[in-house]
Amino acid sequence: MSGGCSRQEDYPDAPITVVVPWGVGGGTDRVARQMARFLEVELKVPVNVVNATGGRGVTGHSRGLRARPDGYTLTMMTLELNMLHWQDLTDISWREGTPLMSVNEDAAAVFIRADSPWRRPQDVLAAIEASPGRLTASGTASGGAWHLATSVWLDAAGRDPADVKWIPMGSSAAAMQELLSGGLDFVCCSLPEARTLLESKQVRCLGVMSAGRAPGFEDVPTLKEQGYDCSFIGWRGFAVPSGTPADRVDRLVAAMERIVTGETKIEGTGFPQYLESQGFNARWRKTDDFARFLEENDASFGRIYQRSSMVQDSGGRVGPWAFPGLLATALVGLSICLAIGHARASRHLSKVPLTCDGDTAGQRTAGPSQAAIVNVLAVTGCVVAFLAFAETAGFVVVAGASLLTTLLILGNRVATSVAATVLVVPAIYHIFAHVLSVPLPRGWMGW
Amino acid sequence: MLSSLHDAFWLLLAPKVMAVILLSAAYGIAVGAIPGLTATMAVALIIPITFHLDPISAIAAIVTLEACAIFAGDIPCALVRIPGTPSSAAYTDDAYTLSRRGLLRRTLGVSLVFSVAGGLFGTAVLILGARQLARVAFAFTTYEYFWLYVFGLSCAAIVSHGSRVKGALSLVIGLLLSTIGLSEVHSTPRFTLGNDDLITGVSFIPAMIGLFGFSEVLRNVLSMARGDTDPAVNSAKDIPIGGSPSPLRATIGDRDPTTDTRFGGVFARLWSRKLAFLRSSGIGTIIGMIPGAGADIAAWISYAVSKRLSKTPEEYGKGSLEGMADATAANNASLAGAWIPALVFGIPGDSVTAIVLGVLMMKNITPGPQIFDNPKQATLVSAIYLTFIVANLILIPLGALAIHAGTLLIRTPRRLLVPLILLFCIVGSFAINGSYFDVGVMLLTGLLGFALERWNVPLGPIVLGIVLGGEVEKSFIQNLTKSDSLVAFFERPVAAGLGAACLALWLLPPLLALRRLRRHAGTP
Repeated sequence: MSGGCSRQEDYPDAPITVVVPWGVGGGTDRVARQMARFLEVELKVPVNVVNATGGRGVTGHSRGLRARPDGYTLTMMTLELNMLHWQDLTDISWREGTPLMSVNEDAAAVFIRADSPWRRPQDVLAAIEASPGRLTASGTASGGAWHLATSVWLDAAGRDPADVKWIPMGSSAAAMQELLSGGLDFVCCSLPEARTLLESKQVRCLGVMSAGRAPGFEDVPTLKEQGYDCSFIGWRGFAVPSGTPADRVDRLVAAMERIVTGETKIEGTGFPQYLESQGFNARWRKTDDFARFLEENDASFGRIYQRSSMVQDSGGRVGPWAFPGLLATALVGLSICLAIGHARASRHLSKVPLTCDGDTAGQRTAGPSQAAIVNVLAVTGCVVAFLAFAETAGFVVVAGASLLTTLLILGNRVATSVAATVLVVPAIYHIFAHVLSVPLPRGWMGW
Repeated sequence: MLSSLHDAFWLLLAPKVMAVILLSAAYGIAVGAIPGLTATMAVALIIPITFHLDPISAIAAIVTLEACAIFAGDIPCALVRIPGTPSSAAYTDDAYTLSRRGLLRRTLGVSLVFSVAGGLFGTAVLILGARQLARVAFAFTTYEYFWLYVFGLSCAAIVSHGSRVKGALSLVIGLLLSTIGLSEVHSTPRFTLGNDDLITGVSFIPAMIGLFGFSEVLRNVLSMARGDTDPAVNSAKDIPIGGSPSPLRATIGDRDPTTDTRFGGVFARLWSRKLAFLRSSGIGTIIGMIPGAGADIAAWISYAVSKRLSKTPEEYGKGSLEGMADATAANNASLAGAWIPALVFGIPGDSVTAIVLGVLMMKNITPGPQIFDNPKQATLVSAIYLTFIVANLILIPLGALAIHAGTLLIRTPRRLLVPLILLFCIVGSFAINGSYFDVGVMLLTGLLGFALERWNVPLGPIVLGIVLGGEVEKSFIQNLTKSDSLVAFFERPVAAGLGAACLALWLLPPLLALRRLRRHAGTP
């Protein structure tokens, strides 16, 4: 942040990183990467995407929104951000960032197999009423976005969400496959996620949870038309950590506005065309408008979590500690087995001092020498040094120092060591940062 | 079909498409050979570009990139003992031990030829049987997945070198590591101590780099300080270890007249193992076809079957060329297999085909049963087939070049190489997610791996445990949520078959051993 004022005219003059909380190749990732490519054209600096996955989105959102507020780290936010804190998984909320631009909104929808006897949403509800707790559904993990959407619909239809058994699945693709294999009764996810299966007539959509019909899917009715007043929108948008200098925010917003309106073109095509080609609904909202939307979206999720009977721990009757418990038992059992085996082997060894098997662990030579311990500590120290100093000092400085130290310790000549360091470290930095678009920490040397 | 093949052939021959293929191949080999960068990541990096390419070039780029990156993952495996992908973890120790014996060229030559052949086999199945075979995906519900994952994990634990108990111990450690972080099924943080980083959990790439790469660095600096060879450090005693008066130069194999260093010998080897090859590639293709099960499980199962049927099972894990060949054929064959459900039903078989589906839709091509009937799309499908063949063929010269570059690298003295490996461990584990936490994971798993190896505990099962731990837990809980009784685990025919195979895997060998023991006792 220091030096931000002196360099404001030049912003941006270094690579920008976009933190994406979801995995490579998914919908969010694809939207973010395309945006990054258009931003590169607009801002004329490399824009790299980093996938900080895991923790149901906690990791990526918190890393992105809590980064240094210098305008060089953008976060791709998704609707899960507004759910996580209601589930007590984290205390981060959209308020820790300055919203720049939302780029896409897709409503949840309900899908069944094409050969299912059900025709309308009423048929599903009737089946649920006939035997509560028997129907299975999925689309995401328990407590995930589409699980919440299903609850919203069932709630609006006057049914208890607990009457449907939610099978936790890793992704909507996995849920769709399970639906087609006959393992599920219906799936809830967004329309673009089901597009291929819908267009090849392997699944049918009973209704989409938005106010009006979705662009590109005009023949799919809304649930509202069919008498269920419910809406559930998945959104994606960009933000920077709050505290980012206003002029930098303006620069980014101006660039993004040209992109989302389709003014920026790469080889004749614009960002909206890209979204359309993927089946994503290209709906955008700018700064304050986006913030108001987030505020409202967040509050509505709060109401849903308080009202519906959706409990946080809904992973079925098998608790979260059952599996680790099973493993821990196995670990103890195996350790006991090994200990008994070892004791028996060493007794055997003491009787017969000569063994032909060189593989036994008991045949270790005298303990490591002092030099060896120094070497091991030095190597470990290099990694620790990277952890401690790379963020401030930068990759080139820390990696260079580590490499030089280990080279010297292992008995290379000084000239060789220095030459290797000077050649290798900048080369690696260049390859990763520029050729592979994988950002390495920058620091004192601007590298 | 024939006319579309003809059209596709000429489309593919366009100079622009050929240039794209060549560039992607080189890029794929580079990314695959750098520890920490995966085939999926390579593909993701080029998606934004594919939007501006014509459909044929876009698909050709992805297919080539993937095939080349998966093979190239074997290069760091043999050179510095860091598997490029988890599917190489099954035979990392074999490849590395062989290269330390001076057989680097031959090892990677075998890996290259079997990868290419496996890839071509998978392609043949894709071309001839996609429509008929795609139904396999629908035989798999959560019950079948559960048993398939358990089967893959069991194979990993049982076939690793060392005792069965130690293999199981390693597997359990891997599975336990996978439970750190937010439980996907329950949304409950586990073992996180309230830390935001730990909620992410242990990802397998830094763990893999730590377990294999960093622990190897530690072993080397230890033995180099000692200045002599240490039998406990390496299980293969005939391997010269760096630190002896002259630095290790793995040139023995190249000069030894008894070893075939040229690739001609490798092709003869392929012919002599044709049945084993067909078996391995078949396993790979079928497993690739099942969405959610990919090259990693394929490699492990193929390796396990290979060991069981081998005349020299004791070599596995200590430098078995045949085990490596079978596993590497399987993991490349599975790539084409993954395209089968993707093309026919629009269900991605793995992370790369998930990306590909996005690209196809971008080009207004909707995968599904009708893709074969529409003449315009049929041309594209034929082009995909041909690209698979071209990608695998182009891998031969480029792979050979990469192997040559690798042989130069291994001639560098060990005291110079080891610090470079250390640097790559750090960069590789950082690069995948840009996270310092991952570097920490690499450090700790490296120390763990170092300790475990001194006890002769195999490391491969830990990697597979981390990769599949979440999945196996998920399917276990999904099944228990669906139905109360354990009988349901065996109700569907495929599930029953896989379940029985798992039980047999664990119970049969001890029973057989018992019988053998009794027979031995009978005839002294």
